[in-house]
Amino acid sequence: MAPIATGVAAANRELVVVGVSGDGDSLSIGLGHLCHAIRRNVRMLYVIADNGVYGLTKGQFSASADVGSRSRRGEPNLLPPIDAMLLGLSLGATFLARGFSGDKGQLVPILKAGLAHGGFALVEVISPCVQFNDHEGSTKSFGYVRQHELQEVDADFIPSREEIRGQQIPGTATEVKFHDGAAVRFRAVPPGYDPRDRRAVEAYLRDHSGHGEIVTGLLYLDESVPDLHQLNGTPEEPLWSLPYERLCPGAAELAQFQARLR
Amino acid sequence: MARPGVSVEVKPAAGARVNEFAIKLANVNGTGSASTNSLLMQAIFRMGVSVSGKNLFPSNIQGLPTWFEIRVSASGHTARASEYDLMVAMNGQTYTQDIAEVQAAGYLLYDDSWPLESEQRRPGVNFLGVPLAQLCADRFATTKERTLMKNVATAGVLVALLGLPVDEVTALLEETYSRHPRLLEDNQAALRLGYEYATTHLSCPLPFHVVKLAPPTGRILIDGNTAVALGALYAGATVAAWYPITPSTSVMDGFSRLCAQYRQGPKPDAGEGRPHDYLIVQAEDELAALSMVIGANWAGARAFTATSGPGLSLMQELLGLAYYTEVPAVVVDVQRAGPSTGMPTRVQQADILAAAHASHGDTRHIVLFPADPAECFYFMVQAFDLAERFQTPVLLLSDLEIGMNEWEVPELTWDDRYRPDRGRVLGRDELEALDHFWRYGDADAEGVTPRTLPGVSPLGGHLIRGSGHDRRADYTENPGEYQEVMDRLLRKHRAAAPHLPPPVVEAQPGADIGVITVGSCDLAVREALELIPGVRSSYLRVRGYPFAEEVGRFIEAHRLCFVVEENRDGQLRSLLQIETGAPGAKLRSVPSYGGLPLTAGWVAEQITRQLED
Repeated sequence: MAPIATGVAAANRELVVVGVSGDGDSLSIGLGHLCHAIRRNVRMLYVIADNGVYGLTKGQFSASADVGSRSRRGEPNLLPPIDAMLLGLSLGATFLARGFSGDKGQLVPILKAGLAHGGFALVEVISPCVQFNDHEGSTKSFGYVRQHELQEVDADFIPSREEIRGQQIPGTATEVKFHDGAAVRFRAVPPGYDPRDRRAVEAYLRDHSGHGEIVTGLLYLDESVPDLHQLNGTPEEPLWSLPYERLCPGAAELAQFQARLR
Repeated sequence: MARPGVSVEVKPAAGARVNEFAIKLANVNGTGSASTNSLLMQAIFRMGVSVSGKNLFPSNIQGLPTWFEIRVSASGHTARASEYDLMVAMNGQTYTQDIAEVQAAGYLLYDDSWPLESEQRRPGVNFLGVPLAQLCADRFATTKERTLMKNVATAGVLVALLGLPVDEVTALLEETYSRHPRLLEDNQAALRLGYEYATTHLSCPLPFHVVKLAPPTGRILIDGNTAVALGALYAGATVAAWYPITPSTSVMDGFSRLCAQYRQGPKPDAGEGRPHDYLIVQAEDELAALSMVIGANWAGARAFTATSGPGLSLMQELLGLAYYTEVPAVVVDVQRAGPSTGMPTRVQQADILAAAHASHGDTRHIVLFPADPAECFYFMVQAFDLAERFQTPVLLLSDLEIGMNEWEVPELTWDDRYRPDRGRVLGRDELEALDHFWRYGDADAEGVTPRTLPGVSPLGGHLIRGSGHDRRADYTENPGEYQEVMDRLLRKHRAAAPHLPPPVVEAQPGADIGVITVGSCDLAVREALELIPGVRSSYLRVRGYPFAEEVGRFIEAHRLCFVVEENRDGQLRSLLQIETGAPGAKLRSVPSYGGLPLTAGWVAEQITRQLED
């Protein structure tokens, strides 16, 4: 999905590009494509609905399944999981967030912030599969996530055109502005958590996943990195809309070009 | 053995042959012989004589044998030659093979800095020794210079032997190295070294040589990959995505260079920071490359990719997606020898079936078959029009021989009145005038349904999917609804046939033998037909799939048809048989699949032998 979205974004930079995928595509068959879309900082919201299982084919483990997590038939997963957030950090991702499909209150502002981001916004949503991965022994069940979720980083999304309605967030709040004037305000539950410090975020996530805890929230944000179009120096207007007359050098130039081929 | 010194071993010529000969240069890859090769080609080209150059190179960076063949033909036969009047034997590894390929009474030029042993000589061959390494060692200081300049000194010898005007070759060097005075000086010095040695010690020119004709007005030297890139530029492509692979890499290298030259902002020069009216992505693999092309085309840009062999295999799934969802895409396949990694620097036309029916399920694509760089240019432009008109992938099947060799072709022309055919794309006003918009409904006579571009109007919004869908673009598993779309896709494919480049037909009245070929086989096959005495045959070159009706009529009109192509399995023959329903016995395969460009002699021999059977 990621390269198709990249092509769409390349042709029309005015479109809001949203990619919705699962852990099967994003972390296995399309893993390479996700990695390179992150590296290119394609401006899009990329959502991974992560349930740790292949549901449509009836319950095989996906690459995000935790070691020891059990399938519905009771077999344990033996392979180490790929953590989308840690992956993103290592690839230079500019927006990383994790939410939980059981917590709309947290997820909605995350998605809004992802849409406002000026580059590749990767949002992993732990989305328990009620059919094949919501049982005892699974680490991606509603029960497990509710029990082990650490809402460490609160984020409030403030759209550019809306008044801030005075929601007072306790604790120290950090505000990061998007290019269009919207803003995200973080409240760090652990003192000193800085969502702009890549190394610290990585250490924090590793530490908590080692304890079987799922850290959710807007985890990392960097608005300073140029996106695909800025990197390629494309014009403000979408490439697809450029008039043909501007694109074709014409007969006279062709003759001149060929003068060198004689 | 005594050094030949001034003694000249040239034997009297049987008869001078002007502008009709072939030479072959045997070298080691990575020693810098390529620029010398094109220098010679260009020098001969400027004499107004038909010339072709075939670069036979290994798939490595350095150390393996490489050959360059130049054929000069006043009669216009520029397919690869099979025997050589002059062999320039500069590679010890291949010496035995090289000397065997010299024509009887032909010549062999060698570096007699290391004199030949008597067993290295072949009776009947004229040996021309020039102490090239010695000459260069005396003149140049570093090993690198000596290696590189030995090629130029060799060119100097050849300029003398072939009767080329040394002043014009010197002028060519000036054009090439105008910005590198030091290199120019070295090149000119090396050229003189070889030239002066040859004119002093050898009898120049050789009995076969070049005599200047009228200047080559209206003709150019260009390789197919550059021509494809020019086609993409002129077609208005703005997005390109690719994964590097031999022999298609120079398509995108060429496109990048052309874009840097012609697409950086409005003219005249607006200074720094001019916007780039293009976006080229070097993708992570060929799946991604074609995915990006599909995404960009879906969003309304003209986008293309270029690949070869294994890359086409990786693109199979995406070709099916674009076919079934009806998204335009242009895919250039510069064919090389397969299967698998195969021989990356050798030529074949073995992707014909893979291209025509790429992907699982019932799929069929539009395929264009250019035969030279000029057709690469024109067909590339047409490929975008066809892709958008029929909302489907179009594959341009070039090959290594066309793509990576310089060809002499008529100067490319352009009609400034050309405007892209964007096909049936509904805008906001048209959508507002409709009762409803169904992506796969309202087919026209050619089976094409209207599409919309994202972001234009919510009235045109729809979900496209690779899963089974009906005319509304809704998911379906209903046999009737599914078949309705599949049947229309077949109708659409057939309807494209008359819009493709028509086959080239040269009918001989009363001929009962037909010879059918494709792509770069063209020159060798035409020449072969002149070599087969007493056989009246008509000629047809296929230029597009689905085949024009004319192709079927041609087969019907002949008792026997030979299908000459560069693959083992007779892929074009199979496709012709399937599509035209011609009886198998009527279509005789003439398959060449060793990886080297076709020669007329081989084709003539194969056809003659089969006719005798």
